[in-house]
Amino acid sequence: MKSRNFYILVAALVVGLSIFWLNVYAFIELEVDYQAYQERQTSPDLTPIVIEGIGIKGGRAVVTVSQLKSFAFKQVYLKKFNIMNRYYNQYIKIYTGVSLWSVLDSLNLLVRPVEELTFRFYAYDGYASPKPLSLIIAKNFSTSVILAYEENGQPIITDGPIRSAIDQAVVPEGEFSSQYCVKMLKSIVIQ
Amino acid sequence: MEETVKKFDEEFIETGLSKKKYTSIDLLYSTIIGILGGIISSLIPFSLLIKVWYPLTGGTQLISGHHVIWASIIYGLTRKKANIMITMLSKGLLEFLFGDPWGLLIIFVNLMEGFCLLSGFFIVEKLGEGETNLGWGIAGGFGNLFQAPFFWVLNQRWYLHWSLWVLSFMYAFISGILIVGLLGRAVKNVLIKAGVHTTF
Repeated sequence: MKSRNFYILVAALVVGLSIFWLNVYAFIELEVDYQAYQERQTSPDLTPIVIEGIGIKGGRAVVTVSQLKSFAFKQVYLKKFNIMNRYYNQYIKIYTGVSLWSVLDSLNLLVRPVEELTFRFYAYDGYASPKPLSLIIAKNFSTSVILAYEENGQPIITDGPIRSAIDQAVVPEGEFSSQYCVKMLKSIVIQ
Repeated sequence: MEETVKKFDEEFIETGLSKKKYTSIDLLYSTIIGILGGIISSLIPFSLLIKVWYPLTGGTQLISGHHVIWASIIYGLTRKKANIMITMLSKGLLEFLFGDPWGLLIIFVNLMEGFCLLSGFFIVEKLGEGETNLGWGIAGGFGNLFQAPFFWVLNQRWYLHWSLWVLSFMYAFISGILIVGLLGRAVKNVLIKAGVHTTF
């Protein structure tokens, strides 16, 4: 009985240590900023959204959520988004947010022609949208690719303060909009 | 005399019902607990308990055992593996009716979770650990392994970092051990001590 309990203890220790070091590795590898993750919840309007990549002037720009909500950018109100997941289940979400294209355009951030650039979303929790999409989508369908801060007229709290939202109608064939609607948006890479 | 003492130690109530014979009370237990689980799984955002402090995607697996604990409780009360499947079927139906984004697939997911738990119990019983914390923990771990990581596979989230995959599976297994196995066993024992009739 004693040796049985000892083996259980050893197994628990091995699992515990593995999880600890895997977490350390994941935090470093995915550049998780724990403090920013916490501040995102306590002061959502001050949360910085980073726009970075070789397609951006200076390689990096930062806008806060309160700036994104301002009338400096094109706001999209209570728009119905048709979302589809990989099992072809479709559902409607109503989002309010700011047009991604209007942010890039108004701040004059792009250094190369839009045809040559792509965008990809990254979240605070290590998630990233599956692949970069052509920035032409964001330009041509400026109200269908947004950085949402409200769902059903209410602020997005646990999944926010910003989440990306893309209508299935503008997503390339073979892609699923649910995977591009990234919760807890941290950064947008333009390249 | 020895047998009487043993029964007293186990603190089970004699019901006269057979372990093999299937009864109406089995069905009642399964549907009631399944419906309870379906309502709670659909409507209560337990994941918030994790999201507020743990930043990596997949971390909510730490609490995912609450989806399967109902099946381990019913098994403890009835000792019939088929009841696990009935409970998970009623739970899946409830989640479907509550408008789960996965549609009918959620019923299949629940049945698979039940099947994994059933297999876990089958294995640990063969190893002589059917009524120990270790046995229930391992069975619960198996049962819960078919959780959201399975959704990641369905979603083909291969683009996520490998460490997130590994952590997610480990969390699902640990949640299974702690919530489905150990907590499920404790709840079952409390229910029996409180006077809930077993059917075995």
